[in-house]
Amino acid sequence: MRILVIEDDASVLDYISRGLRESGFTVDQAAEGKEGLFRASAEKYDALVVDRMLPGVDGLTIIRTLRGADNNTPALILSALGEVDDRVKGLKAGGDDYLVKPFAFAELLARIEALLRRKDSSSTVTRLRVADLEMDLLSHKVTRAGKSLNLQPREFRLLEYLMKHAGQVVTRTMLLENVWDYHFDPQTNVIDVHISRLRQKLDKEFDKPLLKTVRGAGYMLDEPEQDFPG
Amino acid sequence: MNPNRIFRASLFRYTLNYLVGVSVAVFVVLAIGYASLTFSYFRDMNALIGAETRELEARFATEGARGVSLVIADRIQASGFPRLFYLLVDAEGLKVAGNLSRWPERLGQGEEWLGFDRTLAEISGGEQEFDFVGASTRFADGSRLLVARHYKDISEFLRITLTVLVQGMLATIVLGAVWAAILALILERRIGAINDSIAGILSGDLSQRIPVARGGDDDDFKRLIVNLNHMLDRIAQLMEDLKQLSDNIAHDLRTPLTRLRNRLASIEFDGQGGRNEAVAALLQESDELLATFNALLRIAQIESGNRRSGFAATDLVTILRDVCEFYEPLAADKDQQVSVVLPPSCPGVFDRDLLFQAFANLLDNAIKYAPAGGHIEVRLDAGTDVATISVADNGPGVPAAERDKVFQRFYRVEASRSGHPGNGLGLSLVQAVINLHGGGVQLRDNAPGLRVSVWLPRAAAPA
Repeated sequence: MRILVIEDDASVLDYISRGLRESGFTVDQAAEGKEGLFRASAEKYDALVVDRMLPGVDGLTIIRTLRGADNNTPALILSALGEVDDRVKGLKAGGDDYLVKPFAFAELLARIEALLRRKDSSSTVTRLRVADLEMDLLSHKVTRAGKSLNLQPREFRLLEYLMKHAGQVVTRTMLLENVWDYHFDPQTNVIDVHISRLRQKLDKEFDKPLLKTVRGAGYMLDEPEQDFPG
Repeated sequence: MNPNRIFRASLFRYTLNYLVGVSVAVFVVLAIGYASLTFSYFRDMNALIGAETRELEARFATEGARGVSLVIADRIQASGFPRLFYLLVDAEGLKVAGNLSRWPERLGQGEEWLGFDRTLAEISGGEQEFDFVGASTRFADGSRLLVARHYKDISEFLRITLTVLVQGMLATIVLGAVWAAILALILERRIGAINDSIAGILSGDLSQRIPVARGGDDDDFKRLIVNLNHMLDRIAQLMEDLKQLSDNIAHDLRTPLTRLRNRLASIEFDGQGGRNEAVAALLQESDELLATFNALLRIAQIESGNRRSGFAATDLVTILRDVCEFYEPLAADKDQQVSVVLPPSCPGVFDRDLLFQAFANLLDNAIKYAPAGGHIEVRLDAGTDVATISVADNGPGVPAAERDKVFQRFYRVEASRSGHPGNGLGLSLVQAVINLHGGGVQLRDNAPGLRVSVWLPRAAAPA
């Protein structure tokens, strides 16, 4: 998996690149807009991480230019501007996701993985399965080991999102944006309370927990046997 | 056009004031004109009488009383309806000649001017009383001559003149008032159009300008519009500068803060499963610092502008239901009862993310300050034009004196400083969001507790 990071702040560039390499990606770097645009259009990448404010050509122009040339490499925009307007502008320019500085590396990683996953996810799935947990998207029924679970509508959506990203770290912000569909700052850890409720219904009567907390990052729903990096 | 607007228009008042001034001036001019007209008439009349008297005196000198009688008879004969009246009496006071029957009582013997009344029955057969002015002279033989003129015609003429002048003045005032109203109406339309444009621009898109009429004179209105547009340019420029500045601050300050945070995060764990508690605490601190910084920046960005790109047709009920549902577990953890009273729907044009954030802040506060086992109420009343939302709790409330201050940045009610976490920016953000929507927020006493009332216009100003 090759990722191009276009970022003018050397320290942030280094931080992202190091993290991504440690996670097993091949990383190319560009510290300036023109160079970034050149590399992105000349070579084949699996994903782009583009800072919005860049010397030379700015991040949105890079993405717009690429999209204009029919290059649909998933792009994540990094920005110090966290406003909805800017987010909308970023997504309108053709960005696939938008991350506001400062961010935890885990957040960036989770989002990049979600972007890569999105690329090859087939759309017409009606049943989801993780270990002995099964979800029927049509009848809205959830069973674990054949035993029916009684979930509230929002809990259902929460679990659906987690199951669709099974084996992958999902951050609190990603849950807010995708399960609740609002971009906002919850101030308190309400998400954790929702997760713990879901966990009650999901894992209480079973030996092996499926829903795990990934320290400093978020949550992950996964096969119980598997180990995951903490 | 509302007639009230015309009468309230400043131009109408100015014109009325002007009209009063003009009326006074016209009155003075008319009075002077009338006086001078009257004066000149009487002067001419006196000159005429004087000249006649002198001529008759001259005739007396050459031809004696008899000559005078003849002249008088001639004169009377010549004019059908006489203007000048004569009376020649001898030394005993008996009439010798003339068309007046007797010597007026009040006219002295000397050569003097005097007015007297006399019915003209004797001269014209009428019963009317006439005013006369006359002069008498005494000849050498003791006979006396009276030459007089009645001035009924003159006073009649002056009366008509006065009537015309007064009517003219009244017409001036009435027409002036009508004209003032018309002018006020015309100007009100132009100024009203400018006012409406400005109000629209200020509440909506700052990039719009007041339309300048094509062609036409380069009059003061056009210049006013051009200047106002220049002002709007300046305001837009300043706001853009401010936005640029805050963007730069955001970029140049947040980036190093991020770096600091990231470096701390990279040394939080030592790699062997151990955690450095001091670093964790620093990380926590830097996260809080960043959160405060972000909230502050966010409020500034919401307040600085006309961020309307997030506005879309959406249902307030959905937003409130989602907020309540999102926070419900938090309240349940504190055994708090949340009663939600919502109408079936309340569609409008809102920024759903910002409103979610605002109501989330309010509900977060309510849950934070209501006691365990307390009660919270979220209510929405959907009026035709305005939606009213209230979030009430039965916590300690906010003292009346502090209710306005809590909207200030970083202001926190003294009692809550120690007991509850928070940066004192939550309500500032709420206010910024509600103001952006053209609504208002108010804190009220819930007896006990706090009731936050928010009103929102359902159709936001056009984007």
